[in-house]
Amino acid sequence: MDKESNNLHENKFQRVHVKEELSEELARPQLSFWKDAWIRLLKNKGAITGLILIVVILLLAFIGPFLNSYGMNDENYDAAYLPPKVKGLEWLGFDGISTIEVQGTSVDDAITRGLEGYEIDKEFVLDSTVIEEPNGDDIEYFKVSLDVDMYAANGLEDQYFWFGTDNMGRDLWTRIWEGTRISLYIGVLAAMIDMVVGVLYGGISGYYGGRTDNVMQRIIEVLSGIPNLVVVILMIMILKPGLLAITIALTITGWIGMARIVRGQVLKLKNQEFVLAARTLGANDKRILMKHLIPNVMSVIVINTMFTIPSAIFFESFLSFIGLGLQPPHASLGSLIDTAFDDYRVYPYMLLFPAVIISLLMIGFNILADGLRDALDPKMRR
Amino acid sequence: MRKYLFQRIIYMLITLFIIVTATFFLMKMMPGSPFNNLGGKMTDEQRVLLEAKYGLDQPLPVQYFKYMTGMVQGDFGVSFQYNNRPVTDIILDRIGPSAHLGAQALIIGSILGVILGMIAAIKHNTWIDYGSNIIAVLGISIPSFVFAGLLQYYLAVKLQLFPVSFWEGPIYTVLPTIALMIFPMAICARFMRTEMLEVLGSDYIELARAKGVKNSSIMFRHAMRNALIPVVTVLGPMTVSLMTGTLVIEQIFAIPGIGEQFVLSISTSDYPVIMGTTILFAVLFVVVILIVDLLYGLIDPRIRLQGGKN
Repeated sequence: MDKESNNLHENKFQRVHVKEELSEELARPQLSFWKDAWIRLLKNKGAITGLILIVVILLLAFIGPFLNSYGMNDENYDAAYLPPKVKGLEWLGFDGISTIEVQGTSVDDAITRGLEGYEIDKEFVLDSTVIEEPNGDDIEYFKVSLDVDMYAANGLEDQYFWFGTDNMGRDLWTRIWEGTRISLYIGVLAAMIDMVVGVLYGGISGYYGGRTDNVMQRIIEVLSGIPNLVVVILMIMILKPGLLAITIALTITGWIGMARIVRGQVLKLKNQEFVLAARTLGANDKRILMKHLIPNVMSVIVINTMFTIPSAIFFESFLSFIGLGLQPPHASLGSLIDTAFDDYRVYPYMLLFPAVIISLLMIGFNILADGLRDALDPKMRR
Repeated sequence: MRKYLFQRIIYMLITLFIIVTATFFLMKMMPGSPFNNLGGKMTDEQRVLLEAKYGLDQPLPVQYFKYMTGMVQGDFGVSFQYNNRPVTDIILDRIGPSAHLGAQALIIGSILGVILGMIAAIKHNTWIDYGSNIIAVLGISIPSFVFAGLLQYYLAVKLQLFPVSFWEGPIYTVLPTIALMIFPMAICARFMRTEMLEVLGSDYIELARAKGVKNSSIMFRHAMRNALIPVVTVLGPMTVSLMTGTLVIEQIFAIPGIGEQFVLSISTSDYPVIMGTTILFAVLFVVVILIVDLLYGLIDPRIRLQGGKN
């Protein structure tokens, strides 16, 4: 026992926190708030998927229309209602073959009638199957489906419309990407205006407090009782439908949510020491608000803006769908879907492509916004 | 509480007053008149007579006053479109399908959403959780009219499982209800999942477990009840989505409801009908928000309602 305690001599020990000069040094490289958030975002698979989706769609929206030779408004009535056809992707269904259903009193009658109706020569029918036969009734009724090579039937074998054409023979690939660009433009613009107005309104209301705050909050309370839908529809109706009208309509009540959030944050922050310090050093209200308070609220602002963009895109397409949006010859994803609805039973590809793209775009923005919220403000998780 | 209620109702009335006034004057500013469409078929004399008949020749303030007094008595004027039918009649006629569809979508959607969210929280970080998360993101992201179109094409036109459109029996309500309920369901599921996770991590659940309470009893009697409380708050956004949804869904499925009428009236400039419907939407919205706020205060006594402070 004695021997052991002797072994534990003072010299054998080393003090851990002896290097005073190093104690102030940080073990990890120092990260700014935004860099830290970025790293957290990169770890979130969903958010990155969303980001990639958005970037791809954004790129296609800008370069897509230039990838083929068809213009936005190149009408060609010979090429109306052509199904999608891509060189090399025939096996995926992009083969330019339409399936049309025809009816008649016998199989032959149905086929002749159908071919006359669609103005197609018999030689271009690749395949025909009988779907419905008279089932015991007296009525002679046959329904036959025909696979027709629409490109050959119209003498356009050398043409490739990647997403098909619409009722006026315009190339849908070009129109869809142009439409995507407009939808994105409206979404981002509306979100930016909402952000500026909302931040200023909420910042001023929260910072000055007292009577100013009271009056400004009562105004918000009254405005927020008005359903967004009603305001937007009324505004669109008195303004001429178009880009400007949609943007104004979307922003007229859109800033309220942002104003409320910013006000709450500013109220919380304005009594903290750093604001007092800035004031003691002689900073004026404008400087305190813009240089000290707003940067601290920035993460909340970014999160909220990211959620505004998809809802603005949705509202634009919704308005276009009920006929209050962009007017032809302009196109947005919503108005393309609206036109497609007229005869999508015969030409489903017209509906499918814009529908898929708008859904992907919305999904992308929503999961990116979710990821951003988790990365920037883990406490706000909902 | 009473003071709060009183204050809220005052704000509600101010809001409604502003909506009605704004709607009225915006309507009058709108380009085009209901008698424009007839074009050259009508002489100026006939036009003057028609305008006099509908009171459109009187000065604006007089028209406004007449409209307001009529409205308070439940009279929204007569439609220009359907041979002088009162707007109130038209709305009452069409409110049935809309209310039916809306209620069905709201109830089924929120129940399914709550179940989905609960399962996701109980099976936290398993494939069930991820699956329900994906459903929620899809439901929130995909616009209802896109979803309705795809449903209609694949389930009704291609597979012929359901009728394509119209409103003639329970089977006709299936597709529109699915299209309309997907958003409420997604919101509910998301909200429920977060609340449930929070509740499951709380001390009283731990205590219940320590006492040896059965798992199912913990989930339903302790966790679900408490998690459900904040879900009441999503009723507001859900109503809005239902209102927006009915406009397009009714059009797609050719349902004779208010939404379809509204879109139709916009294209025919039928002012009185547009105004009547707008006011109906506004009242519905404002009342739902008020009910949600009051309900929230009633269910959860920790939340004190004071003078409308946030």
